[in-house]
Amino acid sequence: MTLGGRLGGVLTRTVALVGFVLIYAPFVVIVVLSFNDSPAATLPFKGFSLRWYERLLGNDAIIAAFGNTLLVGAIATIVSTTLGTVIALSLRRARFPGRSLYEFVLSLPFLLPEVIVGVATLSFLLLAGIRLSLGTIILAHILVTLVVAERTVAVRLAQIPASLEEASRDLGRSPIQTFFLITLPNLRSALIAAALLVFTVSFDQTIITFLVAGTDQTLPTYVWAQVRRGFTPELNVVAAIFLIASSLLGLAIAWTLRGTGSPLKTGGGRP
Amino acid sequence: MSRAPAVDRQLGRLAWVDDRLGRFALFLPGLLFVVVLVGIPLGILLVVSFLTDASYSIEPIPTLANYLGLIGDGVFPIVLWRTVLTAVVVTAACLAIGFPIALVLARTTPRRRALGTLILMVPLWTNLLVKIYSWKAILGVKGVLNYGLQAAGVTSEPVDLFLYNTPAVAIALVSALLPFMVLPILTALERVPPSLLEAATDLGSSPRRVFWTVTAPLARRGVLAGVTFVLVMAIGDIVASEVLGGPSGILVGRVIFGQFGPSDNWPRGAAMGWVLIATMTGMLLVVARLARLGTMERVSITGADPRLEG
Repeated sequence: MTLGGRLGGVLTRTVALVGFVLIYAPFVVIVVLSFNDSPAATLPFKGFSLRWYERLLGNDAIIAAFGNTLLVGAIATIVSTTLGTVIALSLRRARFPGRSLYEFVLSLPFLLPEVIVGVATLSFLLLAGIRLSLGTIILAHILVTLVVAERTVAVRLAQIPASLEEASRDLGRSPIQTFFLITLPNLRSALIAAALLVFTVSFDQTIITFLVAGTDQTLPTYVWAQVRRGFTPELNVVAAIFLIASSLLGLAIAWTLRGTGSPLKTGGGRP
Repeated sequence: MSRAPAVDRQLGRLAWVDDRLGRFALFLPGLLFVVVLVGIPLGILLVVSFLTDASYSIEPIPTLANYLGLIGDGVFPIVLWRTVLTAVVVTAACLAIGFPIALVLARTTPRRRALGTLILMVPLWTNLLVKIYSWKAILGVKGVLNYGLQAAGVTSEPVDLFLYNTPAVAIALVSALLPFMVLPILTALERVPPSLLEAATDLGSSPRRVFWTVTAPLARRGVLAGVTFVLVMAIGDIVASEVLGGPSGILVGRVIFGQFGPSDNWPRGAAMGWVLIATMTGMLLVVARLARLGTMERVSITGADPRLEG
């Protein structure tokens, strides 16, 4: 290799390293600071302490917000994954005029800037006379995550050959039996992946949640309100827990997505 | 086989009708959802942007004032321009840093590549707000960066230059959006057969030439996907601008967000929203156009085997 080529390689690797540092710097800093035995919420590191974690457990607002986050996430996950699967099934091998427009509009809540989706939904809710509550937060989260679930399931659906289901129909199974015996078992990994993705995206919603939330708070809107006020050791702990929890979720997703290419299940007996 | 053809046809027709009905029943929830929860709200936002604002209420008098007011406004065009510029800089930086990461990962062993991909994917799924907030702890007056600079003797006093400005917003956005750039490029690069690169090298191309004539064009589709992701997310940013931007780092998303309080100007906010959507669409069209220009120049290289196309 020429000197120029080797220099290019070194440069490439250096830039790549800088990139990884840039991505992980916020993680490392906030997790380290969350264990800092100092009320200043910043460096220097005055020793390892769990006291901010302990204090967090006594903060009812955070505990309530965390409970709300889990509740909203869980319901949004169930509804979005189910509805997303229904839409993916309805679009499978369907040809009709306006299909691409339909799919485009379906993806808009996920693609458009958060503020647009948030204010459009808020205007709609207010005009319709719907009171802002946890319910409206859940609705907004379903709105944003639906296309994520639909796409994840659709990709897997496309891998299941029609012949598999046709064989089942030819052998006398009803469409419903065929769905539960053939289609659904083959969608298992995609459904798990879709559910995890929906939950993570729901977990990440700040702006839209803030706009359509009445007096209820989720963890992101709690952090949002606190961040605008200032910088506290307690907030560092919330942030650290948030990062660790969602990293674990991320790992779970990466693990599940590995399995989306698994072999097809044919319903009865051995494959 | 023993049934008369007419009966068979009849049965077939019934099954067809049944199938049609079933499919329509399946189709209905999604259609309802799209119309009621996406179509109508966006429609309302469009209508509102053409209505007249009277303080604390909206008068149903059609007007263009909300849009025209934005042009005459001394601040909005500046903020919009800053937003476009920030989004472009963030996207360019993500590409400049992200491509080398993808390249290093694509050239390493499969085991290391899997590990690297995992390391990239985990932050992708973590909360954006928290990642942005963490940058405050790095860039602030009492932040890690200032602490490091003082410890290293570069500065004697804390510097307040790093936070509450547009560069702080841009740095945090690059950090948060970088994985969105790397992953699609990596996917595209993984499909480039090593034999192709060897062939180019054997035929006497320098590494630089191999990169620009073989690797880069083949990664085009990944780059296009990455650029689109990052651009869309950067241009709609509110969180980074709000937490790290201060008054000088205000971006459009944050201004729109501020127009939708109880006593604020909703029609004006709605108009700003549509200007933002139009700007974003325009930028995406430019990106798509640039990508197409790239194809036409490189057609002789990739045209040899269509399977090599990302």
